[in-house]
Amino acid sequence: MWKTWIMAVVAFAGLAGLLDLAVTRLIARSCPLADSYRIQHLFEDNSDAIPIFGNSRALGHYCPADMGIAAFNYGLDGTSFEVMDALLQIELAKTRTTPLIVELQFYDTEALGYEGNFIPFVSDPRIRGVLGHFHALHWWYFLPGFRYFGNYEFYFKSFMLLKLHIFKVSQGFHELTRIPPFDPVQLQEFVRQHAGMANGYFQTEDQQHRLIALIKEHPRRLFILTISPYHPCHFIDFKNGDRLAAFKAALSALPNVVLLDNSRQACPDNYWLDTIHLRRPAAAIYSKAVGEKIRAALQERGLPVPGDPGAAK
Amino acid sequence: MELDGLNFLVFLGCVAGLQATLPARARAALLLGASLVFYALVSLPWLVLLLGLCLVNFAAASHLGRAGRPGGRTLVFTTTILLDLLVLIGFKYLPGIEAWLPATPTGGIWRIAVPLGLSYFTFQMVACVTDAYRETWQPEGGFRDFALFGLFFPQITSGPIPRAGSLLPQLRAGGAPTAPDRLAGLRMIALGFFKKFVVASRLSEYVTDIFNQPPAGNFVPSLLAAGFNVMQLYADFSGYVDIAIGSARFLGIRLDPNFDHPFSATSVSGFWRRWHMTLSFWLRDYLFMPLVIRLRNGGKPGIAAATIFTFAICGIWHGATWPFLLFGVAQGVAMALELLTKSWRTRMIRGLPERLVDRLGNVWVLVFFMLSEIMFRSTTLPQALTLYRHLFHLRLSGGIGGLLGAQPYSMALDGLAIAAWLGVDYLYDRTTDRATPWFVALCATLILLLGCVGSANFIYAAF
Repeated sequence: MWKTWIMAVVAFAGLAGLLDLAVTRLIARSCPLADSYRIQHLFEDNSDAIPIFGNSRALGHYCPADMGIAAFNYGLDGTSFEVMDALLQIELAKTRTTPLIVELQFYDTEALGYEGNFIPFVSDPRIRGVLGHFHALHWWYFLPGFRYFGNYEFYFKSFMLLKLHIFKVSQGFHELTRIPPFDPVQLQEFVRQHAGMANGYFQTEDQQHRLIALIKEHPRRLFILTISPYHPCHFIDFKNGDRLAAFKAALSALPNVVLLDNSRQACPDNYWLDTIHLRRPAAAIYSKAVGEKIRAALQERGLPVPGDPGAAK
Repeated sequence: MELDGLNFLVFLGCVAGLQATLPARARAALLLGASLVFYALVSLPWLVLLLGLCLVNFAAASHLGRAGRPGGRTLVFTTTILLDLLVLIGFKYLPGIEAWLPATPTGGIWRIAVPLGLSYFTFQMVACVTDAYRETWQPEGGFRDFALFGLFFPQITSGPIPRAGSLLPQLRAGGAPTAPDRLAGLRMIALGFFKKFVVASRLSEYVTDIFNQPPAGNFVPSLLAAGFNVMQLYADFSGYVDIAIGSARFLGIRLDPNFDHPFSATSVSGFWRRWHMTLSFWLRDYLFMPLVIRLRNGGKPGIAAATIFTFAICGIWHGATWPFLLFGVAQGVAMALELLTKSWRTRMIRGLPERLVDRLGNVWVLVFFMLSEIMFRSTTLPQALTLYRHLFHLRLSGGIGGLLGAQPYSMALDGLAIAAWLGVDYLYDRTTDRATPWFVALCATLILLLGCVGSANFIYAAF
């Protein structure tokens, strides 16, 4: 009987090890649709492409191909300031001096996003720090073979969605290959659901101070801070507008900051996927416009435009 | 400590290891020590409360069990039962008045938490004292054995609800597991973990999403959610019970089964003889039967009234909400209708093939339980009514994602989990002792691959 037990345990452990290896090599670090791939890219990339940071709004609103400049989108669904801060720390530890785009938020979700994204990188103290902050640093994340428990489907999903051509990816930007038509009823439903929520600027002072300190610590990097459009329903009875204005003024006063606040940009209804996300056709228009503004800002400062012929790293 | 955690398996392994090395006379003490540690890890004050209740009930049962002492029997019995029920009701239903209490010294709101497993513990105690009062059971052994019976760690969280007559003698012996006991226990534990992580946790995500916001314009997601809800509840609760019974069996203790293929029942009353059996039998013996005796002159309507009342209490036991009450009442009404229409139905189906009648009965049970479980799952009456409205508004619209109420990929995984469940269940019934390691390895692999860590706690641990 002991022989059978040993054989079964060895078979299970072997299979677990193989699965771990396959997922790590073939998906987590190789499948462009997997968010972990983009985190891996963040660790490794030292090109002149402008990195874009933020949550799902950054991910869905900034298409590098449409921006007309070399960029890479590191936006992560459902992430908060803490996660963005950790990713920024990774980026700012590099020697390169390319500008970077950071999408600012009116309010913080105080969420980690999908923790499975971070499992392959728990050896990095910044990733461990952010997982620890959200009480999501589990011991089995350090156990090869078992660390992906509960997350395999997430990785397989990314792999399948790309293989089945349901999504396509370009420089970190994800998009559906078939764009769903605009649904005005659904948008109205989103607006109706939003009606019960408080509008305003709710980032904490600590978050403001930390971002400003980070920008000051890296004077050689140009921070392009953006706020992409919010649906007009977010501006009804807008609270803490004075705090937002003061924060924007403080940021604008920094020499290495370009602030592009497009939050109140008027958009027709068919631009909206919901009240905080633009549909793909609108994102293309928005990306192009932001790309042009960034190009102008860089040229005004005498900086090379990444992606242009002759642009230095 | 939850039963679905790795720390529980380590704990169980340590207890089993010690049990194997200790002499037989020390094993009951070991099990009591382990149960005390298990509960102390949850909450020390609650452990003290439960031990206090154990002591009161032990004293009462001992007094009632002694022959030739008629004096004050009813008083002792009534006082003890009232005390048990008061503690249970106090903890279960007082949280509703939290908002009315004055602020805490720090200005916060009082939070009244229900001690883990208090319901099941109370049911055990009430059964002991009542059996002693009825003179159908006599306490044997001392307080140590009685406390072990009350706090036995594999079943304290959510049952099954054991009877002293069958469990106490086993516990007093301290358990002497044979190799087949250990293997059967491991099989059950593996099956329980599989049901919890692969089926219940996965289906929970879909069910929660749809119950919270049923998609308009399409009845299919609500229908799927109603069906998945039943599967999730069964996988979750029977998974827990498998782990509990398997853990006890691993220690050489046999607990009563709690499920017996409930979805093959052909009537609602038959269903409740197969679903959460230990609770059903407890309700029958300690609530329904005394009521029937009181209403014995009422004939069938009296029995029907007793059934409805019993299940209304069963519903409200789950929580003081309208959906729970209506869930219980619906069960009682269905059973009452089955009772009152039995002779008429017998005449109507005379001549029909027995298989067809059974199939029809089975469909009735499945549909009824699926619909009534919507009440069980809903936190408020409007939530339940919204789901019923969407369910019976037979409209179809939207693409495949809208039709399913989820991404096809997620739905495919849900289907895969259910298919894997059927496969594992099939293998479980056919796995011999020799093949147990492979069955455990298979379950572990499926849990690793398909497991979902969505909803951590067992549903019935909340009751």
